[in-house]
Amino acid sequence: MDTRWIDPEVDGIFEGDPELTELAHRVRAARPEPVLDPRFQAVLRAQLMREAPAALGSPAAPARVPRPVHVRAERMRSDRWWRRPGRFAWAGAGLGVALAAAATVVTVSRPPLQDHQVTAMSPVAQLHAVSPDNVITVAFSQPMNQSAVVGGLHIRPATAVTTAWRGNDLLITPTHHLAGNTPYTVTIDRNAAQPVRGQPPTSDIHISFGTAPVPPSVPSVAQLSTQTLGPVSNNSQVLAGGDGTVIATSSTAPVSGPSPAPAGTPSPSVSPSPSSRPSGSPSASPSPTPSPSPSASSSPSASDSPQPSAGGKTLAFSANGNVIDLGPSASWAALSPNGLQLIAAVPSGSSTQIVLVPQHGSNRTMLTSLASSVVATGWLANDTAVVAETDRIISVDLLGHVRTLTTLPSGTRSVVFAPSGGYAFAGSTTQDGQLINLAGNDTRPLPGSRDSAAFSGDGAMVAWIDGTGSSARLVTTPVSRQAADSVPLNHPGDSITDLALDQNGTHVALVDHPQSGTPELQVVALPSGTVIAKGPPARELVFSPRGNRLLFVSGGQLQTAALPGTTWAPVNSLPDGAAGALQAFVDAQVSGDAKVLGALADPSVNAASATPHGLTRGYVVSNVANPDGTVGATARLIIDPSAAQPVASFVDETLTLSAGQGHGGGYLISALNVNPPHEEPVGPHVVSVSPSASAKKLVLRVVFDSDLREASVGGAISVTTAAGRTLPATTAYDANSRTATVTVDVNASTPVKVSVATSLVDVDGQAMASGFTVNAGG
Amino acid sequence: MTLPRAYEDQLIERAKRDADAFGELYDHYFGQIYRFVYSRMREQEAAEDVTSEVFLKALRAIGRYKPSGHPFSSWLYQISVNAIADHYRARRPTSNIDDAVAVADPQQPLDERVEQKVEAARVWAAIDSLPDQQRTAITLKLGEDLKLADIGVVMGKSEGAIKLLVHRGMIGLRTKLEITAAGREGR
Repeated sequence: MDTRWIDPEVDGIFEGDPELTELAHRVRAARPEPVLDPRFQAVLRAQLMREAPAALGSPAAPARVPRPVHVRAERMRSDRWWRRPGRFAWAGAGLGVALAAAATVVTVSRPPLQDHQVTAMSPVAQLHAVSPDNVITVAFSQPMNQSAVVGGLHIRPATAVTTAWRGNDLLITPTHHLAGNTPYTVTIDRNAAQPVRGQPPTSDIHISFGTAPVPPSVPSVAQLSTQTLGPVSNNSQVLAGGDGTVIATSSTAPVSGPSPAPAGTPSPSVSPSPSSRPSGSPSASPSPTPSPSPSASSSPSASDSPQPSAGGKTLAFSANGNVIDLGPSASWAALSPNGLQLIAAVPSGSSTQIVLVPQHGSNRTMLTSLASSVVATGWLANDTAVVAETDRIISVDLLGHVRTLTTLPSGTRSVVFAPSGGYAFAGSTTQDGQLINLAGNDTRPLPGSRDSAAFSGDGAMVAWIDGTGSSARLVTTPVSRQAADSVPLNHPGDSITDLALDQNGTHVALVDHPQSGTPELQVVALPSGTVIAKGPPARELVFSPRGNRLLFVSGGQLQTAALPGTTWAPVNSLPDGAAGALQAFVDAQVSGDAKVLGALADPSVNAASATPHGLTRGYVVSNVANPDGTVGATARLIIDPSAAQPVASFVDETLTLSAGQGHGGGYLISALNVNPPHEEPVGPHVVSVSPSASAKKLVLRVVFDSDLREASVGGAISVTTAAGRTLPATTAYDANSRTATVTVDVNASTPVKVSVATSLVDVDGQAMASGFTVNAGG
Repeated sequence: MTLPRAYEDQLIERAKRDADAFGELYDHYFGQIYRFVYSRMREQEAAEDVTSEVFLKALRAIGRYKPSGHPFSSWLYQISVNAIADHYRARRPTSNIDDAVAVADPQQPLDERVEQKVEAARVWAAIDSLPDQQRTAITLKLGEDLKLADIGVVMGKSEGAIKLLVHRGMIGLRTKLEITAAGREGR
């Protein structure tokens, strides 16, 4: 029985009949391995692409087919559109199109597949978000000469692996897990793919896939290592921004940035931000239970929503250590989807002011004043905030226009808004909480929920604790439909509070209150329910948008902790807002979101037309603050390999960001130079160069995509001054994270150039194709 | 493995007029659909034919696709289920689908000499002998890990009906496997 497979739905179907549950496990474990001609996928794709202009009605499509021929072509397609090899050939899917142009039958032939010719397939082939923890399986159609196959195995980028066989399946296990956000190609040389009997394939076997931009998991429970950011008041809420900024709505930490001007009246100059949400957007909404009490039903009632402490302020703790004053303490606040502005509810006597606060704190704008107290704030889109009062949810646009969206169910004590807008949770202590679709104004109960729930950062999933049974259980469901999954928590008798989901709903953080003993912060992987990390008693749990950090309040202090298995490379000493704008721009390039590109770039930069199509991933390689106040950066955009093109294509670009041009004085891309796409050269590549935080000496982390020969690393990396003088540096290489840590004997703020020479060699003995130099530090 | 919802929604919209976007959807879902089709057909040539029909139909119909709140893959599975039925209707107009696949002999797996593969062949041959709808529901649930609600969309039934199909199918499967095991022991 496969004990790793958990499907609560299956358990539910066969409840009371463990024999059927076990049979279900047997069935699942015995899923047939499909036999696949490795050429089939590519050839079918090509046929579909030929058919597409006619089928999609593209203006660029060739002239329509004359009727008689078209009818004939249709008949052929419906009879046998796909022709088997070995018979003769198959009629192209583009018949309809091709016939119009050539007036002749076009066939595409391929050599017949010989009897017993070996074929191979892999479940990861052509996927773009494979877990970095994955074992790569290559399933052959017949028994193979195993040592020959392993001898002809190559992985790009170079990856140290161990191999094993299970029947005809080759299992490839990376020694240091796969790198995240990276395109991979596994190749088995044609001559090495020798079956025991039968014939080798006619060409090399290529399996292409890409990994998800998530860190690999760790097998054991880790203790969270925390870092304190500053003191916060009891009722402070915590928010996480995409550029590493953390916001506390009530803190007494000393301010190191400029103080804001008082909030003015609605500003006519405020213009809506782009409506699409870059991936560097805020994380899951914080828990709606600001009370430090461990009780699961400790959420504040609508009438006793948190009041900020008299001495506190809303403060932003930027990634480079600045503490910025965002104005008076707020009872509730939420970051806009693009992370550039905050909507805050600031109590003022018996009323509540709804204030728009740019991320850097200046030019605050009071949008409206409400006569009642506020239960929660959020955003529908970048230009429309939402505010929950005791009995209704209203929208407030950036000009201060107020509209009632829906009334709240009676007995509502708490409200949580989904970060991406569209949904809200209305909690109650006496009945099931309700999930409200703000667009359709329809509601549905979340069974077993009461007054708390959490949304994933992408807004697609909602989670809650069902404490109505004898043992609390975590339940998750997509917001768009009722498909609840119950996640085993194995905490009989415990009470659970303070729930948070990460960006994609793959991890949950919660506080476990045992019947006796000290409460414990836990990070749990979904859907397995495995605890991967533990920490001190805490509240106000929030994942960073990138999923690599957890933020929380513990012991009256705002704390942050890197999640196990992640490498937290905080952005360097860039000015506040620059890193977020940079990351959002690169994300928008990958998603092809022209509106966001336009909003984040100077009008003179035609970002959308300069960005290539078909990108599958991208990342910032380096960034540096220039003395003139601009920010320079390099980024790499990638088109993953495919069956037709088994090598990834890279696009390298340089960017300049300038201050004061964006909305509210933020950063915009003021120059963009996109190089032509090129095929990924063999050998290792630099993925990122970033300074380490809080180091007196300059410490640079250089991350590679390939497993490296350690002996080649130290000599290949050098650091010079801007004038070219070599600086003394020591280099340590961590094979597990493929990272070289370079410590340079100069002040951390010294601008330098980092170079990686072609003497750097990967584990396959391949040298770096060309030298790499980038500005860093400063 | 699913695409981020927002990204997939954008991709689908683009695919209505952009071949490259459709190609990206194809790249993402090909393996999933081929695996499902193969698990129902159990024959490479037929699986290729049906898979090609599925994607051709998807290409022609994507302009009319409207998000329903269910995954895009549900739509592709729905096309697949219909294409499989069409295939059997066209190829074996006078015979029953169940008869057509029940002839598989679980005692004679092709190249499987490893115990696991014999077990796999035995289990899935028994599944092949179940009524068509039970077989489809079990294949989608246990072979493809779909949610019951999504299987309901694929098969045009309620979630409760799917539960019933899976439950009854598994009871039937248990009986068939017990009979097979008893038959082996009796030889």
